[in-house]
Amino acid sequence: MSAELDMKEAVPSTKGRTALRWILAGPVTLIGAVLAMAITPFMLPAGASGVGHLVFAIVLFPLFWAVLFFYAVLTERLGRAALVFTAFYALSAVLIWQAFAGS
Amino acid sequence: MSVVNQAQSRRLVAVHGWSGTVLGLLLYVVVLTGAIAVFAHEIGEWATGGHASVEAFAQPIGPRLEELAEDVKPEYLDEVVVFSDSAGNIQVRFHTHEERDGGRIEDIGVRYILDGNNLEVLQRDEGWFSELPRDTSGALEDFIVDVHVNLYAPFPWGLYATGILGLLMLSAVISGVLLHKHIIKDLFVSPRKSSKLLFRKDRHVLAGSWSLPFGFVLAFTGAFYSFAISIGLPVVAMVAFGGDQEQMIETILGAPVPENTAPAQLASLEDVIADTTRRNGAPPVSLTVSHWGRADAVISVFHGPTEEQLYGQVHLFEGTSGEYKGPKPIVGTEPSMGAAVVGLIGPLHFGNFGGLLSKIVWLSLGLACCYVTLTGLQMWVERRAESKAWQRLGRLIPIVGYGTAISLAGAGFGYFLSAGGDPSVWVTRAFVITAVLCIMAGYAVRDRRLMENVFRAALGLGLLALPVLRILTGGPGWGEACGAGASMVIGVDLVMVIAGAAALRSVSRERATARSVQPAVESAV
Amino acid sequence: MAFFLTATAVSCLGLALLLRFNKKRQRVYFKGRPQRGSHTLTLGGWLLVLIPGVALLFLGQWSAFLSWFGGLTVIGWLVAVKKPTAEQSP
Repeated sequence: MSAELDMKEAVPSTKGRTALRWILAGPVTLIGAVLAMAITPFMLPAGASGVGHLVFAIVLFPLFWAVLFFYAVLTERLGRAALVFTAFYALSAVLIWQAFAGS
Repeated sequence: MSVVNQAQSRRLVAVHGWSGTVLGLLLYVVVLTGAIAVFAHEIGEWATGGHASVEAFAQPIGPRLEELAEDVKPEYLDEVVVFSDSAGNIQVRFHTHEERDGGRIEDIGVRYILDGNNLEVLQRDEGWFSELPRDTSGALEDFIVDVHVNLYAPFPWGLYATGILGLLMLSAVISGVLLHKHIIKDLFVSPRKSSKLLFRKDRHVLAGSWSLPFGFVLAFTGAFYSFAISIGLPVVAMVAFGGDQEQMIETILGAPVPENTAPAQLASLEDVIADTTRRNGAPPVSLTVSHWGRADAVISVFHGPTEEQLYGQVHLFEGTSGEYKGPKPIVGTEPSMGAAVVGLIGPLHFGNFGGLLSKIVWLSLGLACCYVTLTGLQMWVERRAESKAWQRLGRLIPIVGYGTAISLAGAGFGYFLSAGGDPSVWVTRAFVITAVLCIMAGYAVRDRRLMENVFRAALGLGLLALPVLRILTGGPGWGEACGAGASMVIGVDLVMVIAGAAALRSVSRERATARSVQPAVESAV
Repeated sequence: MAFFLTATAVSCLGLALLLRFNKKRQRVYFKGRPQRGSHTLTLGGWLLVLIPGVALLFLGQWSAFLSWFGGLTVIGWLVAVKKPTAEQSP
């Protein structure tokens, strides 16, 4: 059964794709989740007590990780996923850099 | 219908299986110790011989604290924390926060341990709090909690490890949901006995489906706890406050009151305790005085959860007048959704909101998750019966499965037999020695069935012996405990006896089944 | 405590209904006998299981709600996982 499926998925090279998927779902996802947590305070309102954006950034960390992880595991378009992650990293870097430049 | 296609489902099986197997045994250790840690405080109370369930602040502590305050360096009056520990003693911690070599802010000061009945000083230690001799009465409970939270590894590595395990459990729960086509329909399916593997699979899926909601909640909140302190706070502080920790603490905890170093008499703590008890309907569990002896002193009183309130509450009092200033949210200065969310994480993870009842439920939820982890591992290994490497891992399943429980009982032995020595050292040693013995036994006994029986018998005997050992090493007998109102001691003793007897009974039943199957097989041959 | 006990008792009644009239279970536990049960019974079972939870939320009994929900998942599992005896299994 697995041989058939491997054949189906064997666009460029199965080994390369598996390796890429491991990298995306592993370290890239973990760092991505930390970045998502880091930029959440910029996106959310501070709320009644001025802490909402900080609290939700930290509380939602496991969820950020899960979303990125299952995206990397389930996607059929690995190339696009790699691009999405790169774009996300770049966006986060810009936002974080801005925060530092501003302060 | 399944929401995923065949290739995706194949990858999900890989995620589900690999996440469960590679780190599954470690995850099991964290989940089992977590389930037991729900009762860590009760176990601590049991181990120390318990105490009458008197209220923590039944004695007039104010005058006594005044005396003790005379005897510490003035800078340690910056903050004073008072609470009642599991031995029924009152702990008083005069301290301040100073930067250490590594740049980390740590607590330094004097810790008093007072007899809960007459407020006599039992122990006095001074220095960095992380380096004070372990509070020996809490050795057993601290150990269980430390294994659960840090896998007994140093900060922050232990937290990283348990955090990753939490994420792994989360991924196992989610991939399990995605893989299973008819979760609701199959909630009531009876395990099929047509083949051993199918039977195991059905039982794993049943347990997994039923424990799904809380598996998710426990994994999510657990991962939060591990990463919030080790990564979350520093990262958010870095980004949102440009690395200014002080500003972050001010925002999170609320700006400090305007400084006023003029000396001033502290209000009567007894009056404050009476006031807060009346407001909350129950006495506080701890109280903190900041800026003791100064005009800007503030008294914060902490209350545990009540019937109406899932999580604890903090009330603030003016330090010099004792005037009530209002409740204080867990984060921020005003009630907010953020504070409510942070407040909810605790009860959802610890199950400590509804007394013994909710704790029993949470213990069962934890044990159910243990069952899911172990049966999943077992299935994965059985499906790969032809591979030697997997069979080697397979051997580790009963060793870790029973071994962790047996070693925890061993840690209890260490605690009681440490007479004269440092219990916290002996608890750890005994745990390690028992674990090594379990591993040796697991590899020495080749027959799997025999090995499991040996482990069950060891666990049963160990649990039965603990209450006896407790009494033999000077702990109160049942009559004495009953007279002193220490019901928790008897309760935990009973649970140990029942669990131990159940383990022994399972051995004898197993052997009886084996005997009845043997002649049938022989006659069939 | 009273809220928890009442809610759990009602839900267990619902669980019992769902267990008794589950088709796959009947094939194992009531082998050879005509299949009984209907959609109405299943729906009723689920309502009995879930309504106490909704009621607890409605009454603001958060503590009882969490204990009820946790307790229900453990009880459900313990009942469903029961080994069929040798005669019952196919």
